[in-house]
Amino acid sequence: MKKLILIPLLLFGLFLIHAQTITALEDSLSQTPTPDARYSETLVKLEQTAAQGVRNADLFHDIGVCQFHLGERGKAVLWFLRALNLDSAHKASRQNLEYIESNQPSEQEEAHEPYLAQLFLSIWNFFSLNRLAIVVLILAVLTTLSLHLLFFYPPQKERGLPVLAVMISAILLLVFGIALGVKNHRHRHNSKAVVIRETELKAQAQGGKTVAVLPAGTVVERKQSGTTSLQVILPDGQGGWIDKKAVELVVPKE
Amino acid sequence: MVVKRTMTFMLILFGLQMLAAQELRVSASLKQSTITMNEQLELMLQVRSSAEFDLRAPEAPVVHGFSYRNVVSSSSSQVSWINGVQSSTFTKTFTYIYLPQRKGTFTIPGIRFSYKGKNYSTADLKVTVEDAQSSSSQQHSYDPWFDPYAGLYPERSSTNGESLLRCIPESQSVWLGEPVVVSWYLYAENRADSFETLMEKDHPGYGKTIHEQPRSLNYEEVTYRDRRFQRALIKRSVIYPQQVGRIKLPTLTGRVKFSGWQSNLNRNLDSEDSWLDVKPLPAGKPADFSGAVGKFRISQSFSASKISLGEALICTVTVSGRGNFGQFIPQPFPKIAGFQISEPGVQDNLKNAIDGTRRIVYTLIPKETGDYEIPGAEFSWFDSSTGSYQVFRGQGITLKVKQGNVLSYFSGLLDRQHPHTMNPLLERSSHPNFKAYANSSWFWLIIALCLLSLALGGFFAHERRLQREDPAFYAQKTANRVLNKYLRKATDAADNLSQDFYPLAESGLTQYLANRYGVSRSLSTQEAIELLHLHDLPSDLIGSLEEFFQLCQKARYMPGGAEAADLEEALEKLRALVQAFSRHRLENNGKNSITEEDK
Repeated sequence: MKKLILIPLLLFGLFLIHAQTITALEDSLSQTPTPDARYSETLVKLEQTAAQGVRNADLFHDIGVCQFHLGERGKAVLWFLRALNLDSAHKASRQNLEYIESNQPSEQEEAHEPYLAQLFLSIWNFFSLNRLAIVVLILAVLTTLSLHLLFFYPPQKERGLPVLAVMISAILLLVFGIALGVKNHRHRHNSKAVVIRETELKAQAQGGKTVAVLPAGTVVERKQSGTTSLQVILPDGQGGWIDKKAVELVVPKE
Repeated sequence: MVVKRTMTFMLILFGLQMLAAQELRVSASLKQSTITMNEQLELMLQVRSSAEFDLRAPEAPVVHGFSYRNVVSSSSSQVSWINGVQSSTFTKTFTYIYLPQRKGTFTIPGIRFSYKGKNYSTADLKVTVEDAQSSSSQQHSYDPWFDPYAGLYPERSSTNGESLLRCIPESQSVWLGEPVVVSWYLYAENRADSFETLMEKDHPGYGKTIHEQPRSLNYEEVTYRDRRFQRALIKRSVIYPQQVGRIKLPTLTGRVKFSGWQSNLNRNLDSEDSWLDVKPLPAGKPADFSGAVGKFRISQSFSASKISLGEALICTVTVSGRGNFGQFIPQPFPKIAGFQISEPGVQDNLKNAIDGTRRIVYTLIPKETGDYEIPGAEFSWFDSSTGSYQVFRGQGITLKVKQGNVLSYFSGLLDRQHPHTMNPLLERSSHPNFKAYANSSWFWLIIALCLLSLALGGFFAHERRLQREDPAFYAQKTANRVLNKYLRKATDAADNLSQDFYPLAESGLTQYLANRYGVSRSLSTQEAIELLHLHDLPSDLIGSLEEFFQLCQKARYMPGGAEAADLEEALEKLRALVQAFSRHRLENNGKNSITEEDK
């Protein structure tokens, strides 16, 4: 009984240490203080690294910060979303995104989510793709150990405890396994796009009536791609077509 | 009965009124559908409801060919009783002001907004912009307020009542950068009905913002040049002097209109020239002078004295008072080793452009755990009341940074406020390429190992259960395995009624004994039997084994020693023998052991 409790605690502890280790390692790598200016110079260097095909949440975050300070609100949002697509637990990118949104509030953004929804979203964001993978592995090992315990449990003893352990670990494994699948799919097929420069949302692909004017930094869902325009859905559910050149995908098509 | 019906009727009416109260009625219109390049376009959005509503000005539509300037709102309410039923109408009017940029006919897109989950929109409108009218054409316009004789008989208007525009700064002498409120008043001996601003001419040496612009003429009686005038405020602006010396204040041009029999007094007015003396800031400017000029009170606060790694320390400098809020830049926070410090963020809570409170927010993120001495923020300004530079140095704190944990990620969950500043650059020395663990081979190897161990564990657990719950069946099962492994050829021979059964059975059995009990195959039957006695085997089992060996030898070496019909019986004997060996091994090894046959 004690061993059974100790094993999950040990594994959970290991997971905590892992999370802390990552933070400490990342922080120890940052050595130089933030420069007060010269964002454009930094941006050139960072974009060269990104152009080499490097995908790194910290790199994307820094590009976003530079873009923001250079007045490119749309591009800043785009790069922060790219950082979050790699690591949804990237706190700095999420805070910067919230900061940009708070500077340009709209009717939709002002409406606060219910507390429980916020809590769920926060937990969902905390479990980034790789954290989910680690949790799934831990749960897989736990489920295997619980099943082994159940298989070889002395027949004369009450089997409630190993059955409970199997049930809990198996349910958690299922939940986190599904979450990992969903997150992995979204990571690979992220349909979000960001309006880079102010553009008109039109009712039809060509020659349609202007429905709204989208400011730079508006996040839209890509639905369908035309020759020169892109069919998108706004956060409030409104749909329409916008100029392809005015928008960039969070996950660019290779 | 009558009372009940009346009550029901009233309730229904009240319910209907409540339902109607949820709805807004919106309409958009233009003050003029045709304007000239000198005029401004006024787009009016009128929102009505039978209940009070709180609506902020919807976003101004983008109109091609125009530059958006401002939006002004007004509200009104009307309560009336019709047949004993009260009805209220609450109206809000938003006037969007645009300036034309080119001639032509333009479409003004409908205004769209949401209120309490419902979407509202207005229809598109069209406006035509024409060339500015020349003075001659203006004389032939159909303006009902136009006085055709004003130019021919200037003395006529002066005799019937003087009116003038005065520009009055609140102070004649200011410091460079010190904001000053300048008011334009209409002075008239006879009250004018309206005043239309036509133009505002700027002069070099200052920047300005609108401070106040009343929508109607509110008169007060004043004495000016020993004469009594009716005075109404036209406009107030804030002037930020940017040039030392004497600067000329903006000149306002407008048209005063009178109605009725006084309409012959209509005239265009220019504000009187007014000047401002601008003093230079004295020497001794602090090295990091922010550019703030005014009368300020400064305070500073830190969000915490203990934080976890990964959390941020917020330092807020509050600047309250009156001054050039729009003109100064927040100073950066002093550098601290081991900290990333954001660019300063600004949150204004200003009553107008020059009065109120500004919060300058710095986000400090520690890189390592430990105790840090955090210096206070600094803010320098020029105090216009004392004429001297002032420097505020906030008090520092000792900050304890402890190791973060997984729960610290959720620490800000209850905080519904948005972040105060943009987080600083992370500036990692290297950027390793992101790799999803779920797509790595080691991830799936661990999963496969788990599954494999489960399959093996399940198999062994099944065997153990069988051994425990049905030993006879288990012995038979293991015997069958032995037969399959060592005596398959013999069994096949027996099935085919072949006399080869006996040598094959003897050979297989000898092999089995060699593997299980270490009895060498080169020993004679007698020697093997003697060796088996040393293994503590039951004597009846050894007897049966000896008997079977003799049967085999008899069949092999004695002509007619065995008939084909005896093969079935011999096979049964062999099976029984093997089962007996298996059972003995199980009993000998104990119930919790795993027999070698299992492997």
